[in-house]
Amino acid sequence: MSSLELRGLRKHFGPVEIISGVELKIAEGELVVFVGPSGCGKSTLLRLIAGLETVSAGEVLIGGRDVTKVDPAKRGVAMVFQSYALFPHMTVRQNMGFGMRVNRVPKAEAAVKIEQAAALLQLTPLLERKPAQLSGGQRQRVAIGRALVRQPDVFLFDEPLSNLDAELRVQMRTELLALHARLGATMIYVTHDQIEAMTLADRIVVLRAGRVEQIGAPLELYDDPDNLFVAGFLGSPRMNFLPAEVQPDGRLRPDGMSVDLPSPVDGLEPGCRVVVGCRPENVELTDTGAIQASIKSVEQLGNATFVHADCGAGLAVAAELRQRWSLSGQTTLRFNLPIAQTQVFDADTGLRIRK
Amino acid sequence: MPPVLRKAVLYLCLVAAAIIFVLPLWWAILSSFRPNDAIFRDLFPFTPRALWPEPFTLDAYVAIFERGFGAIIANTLLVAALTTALGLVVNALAGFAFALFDFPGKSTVLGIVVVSFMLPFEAIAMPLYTVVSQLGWIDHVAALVVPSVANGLAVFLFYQFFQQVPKDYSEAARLEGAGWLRILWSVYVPLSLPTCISAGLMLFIFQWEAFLWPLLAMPAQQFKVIQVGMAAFQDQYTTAWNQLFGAAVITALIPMLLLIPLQRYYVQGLAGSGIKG
Repeated sequence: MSSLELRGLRKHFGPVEIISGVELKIAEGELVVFVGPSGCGKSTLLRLIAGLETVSAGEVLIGGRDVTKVDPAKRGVAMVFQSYALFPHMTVRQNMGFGMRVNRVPKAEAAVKIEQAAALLQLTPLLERKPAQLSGGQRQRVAIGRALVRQPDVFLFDEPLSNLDAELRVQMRTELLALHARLGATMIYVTHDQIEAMTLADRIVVLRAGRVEQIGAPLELYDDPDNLFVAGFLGSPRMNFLPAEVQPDGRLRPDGMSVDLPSPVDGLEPGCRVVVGCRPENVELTDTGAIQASIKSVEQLGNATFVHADCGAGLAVAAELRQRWSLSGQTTLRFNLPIAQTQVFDADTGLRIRK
Repeated sequence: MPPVLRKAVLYLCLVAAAIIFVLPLWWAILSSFRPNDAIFRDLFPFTPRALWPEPFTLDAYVAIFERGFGAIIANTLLVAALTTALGLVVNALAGFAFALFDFPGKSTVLGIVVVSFMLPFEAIAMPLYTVVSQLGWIDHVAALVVPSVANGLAVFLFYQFFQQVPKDYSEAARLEGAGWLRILWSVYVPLSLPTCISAGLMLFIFQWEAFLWPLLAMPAQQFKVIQVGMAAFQDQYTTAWNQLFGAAVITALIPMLLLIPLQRYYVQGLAGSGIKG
């Protein structure tokens, strides 16, 4: 295992810049997740690290060695593809041993490595099967096994669970975490699924349009986002955003409402435009609440209830309740946004105001 | 008309149509088992005996092989096998390059390759003769094999197939340390067996059916191939019809023996390429 560093990494496809100067340091043994919406450049960034795309500018360092122009096979990385990329005409054993055959590793040594990896991933009974005879989860494990036998410095995972059903994804997530704990290997994992990111990562890198929006531990990003994008991207339902104006007394008046909310930050300039953010689980439903909204829908999940409401002027608010809740003819509700759990963002730049 | 009767009439029509198509072939086969002077005997006027090999004799086949037709078959098999083997390597490499690499002028070169298989051979026969002659290959086996190795249709077949193979395979193999030739050999070729068989059969049959070029390129006629050899059964004054039919039967039989067991792959390969055979 090795550390990894990206210095000013850029990638252009013609005139279009896909990756815009990414700076990142990943420590040895860390599991870092790249997360972001489709087209944000997370897979391209992974392919730049793997060497499957050429870098337009900047450097990739693995274990302190500059590998920017090094052949993919000589970078010390192994990649698990979204499609698994298992060779369909080869058995599990041949797939796992392909790299060792290419690199002329002695047969006995290769056989031992394959057996060890297969035992670790519970693939031993499947070694003579072909990929078409395996389930999705088993194929995924073979793809991981193929990476494992290479004993790489860095493992790269490109949305490896996206083709699996929900139940299998949860199981594979647990297995991946156990594998990481056992190997202590440096891993980079790409996903658009925030739950995967939150559950797997030591640190999350949130990307948007080829730029790093924020890097940090999962709960750090969830509780303390740097900007509106990160605040909105992590969490489901997403954080509630109420555009507001700072009043002369420093309180915040959401658009289209006649109530003022206390501000969690001091020193805001009166008249300044802000966005008030509050996560659904922090919305406090109470009959004496300052804000009134009309109920649009109620989602009962069993362990939680989501209430979606409209505060007027097109402002939608979601609230999460831990207890069961039924409409029983009710069409409106009242709620408060607790000051300690609200965040304020600059309406123009989208940046968090932390004064 | 009752349904049973309608079906009977339909089948009768189909059988009649089948007989019309099969009859010439059948007549050619049975003519090869008759003496030369008995071939047209029952045709004018026609009697049903024309459809039966009577009197039956194998004289035509004995005579064919006494005239050295065995060596001609061996020559053609050699030329066709060499062309097929070399052609598979060259055309697969070209198709792989077109499918996986981007290079300046790629679409133009690919366009020329596609057009090349639409050109009639007669259009390039004379320029090709000049080139082969300059190389000193006239009357040499190389003159028959080398110009037929690169085949636009075979390149296009491979290109079409390789383009559909997910790039993840080649990228996974690259990460494992495989070079491009290794990727072609270990990953792409095993996946493209139907295409390889289609292209191989096509190259074989092109060469098997070649007449004009072997006639031009081998003027000394020391090394004859099958179509040229067949023409020798007919001269200015006489035609050994039974031997000619015998040679035709053998000429048709050999590619059929190859084609029938591989037909499934052949059709699959051509259908997969989006080209009708």
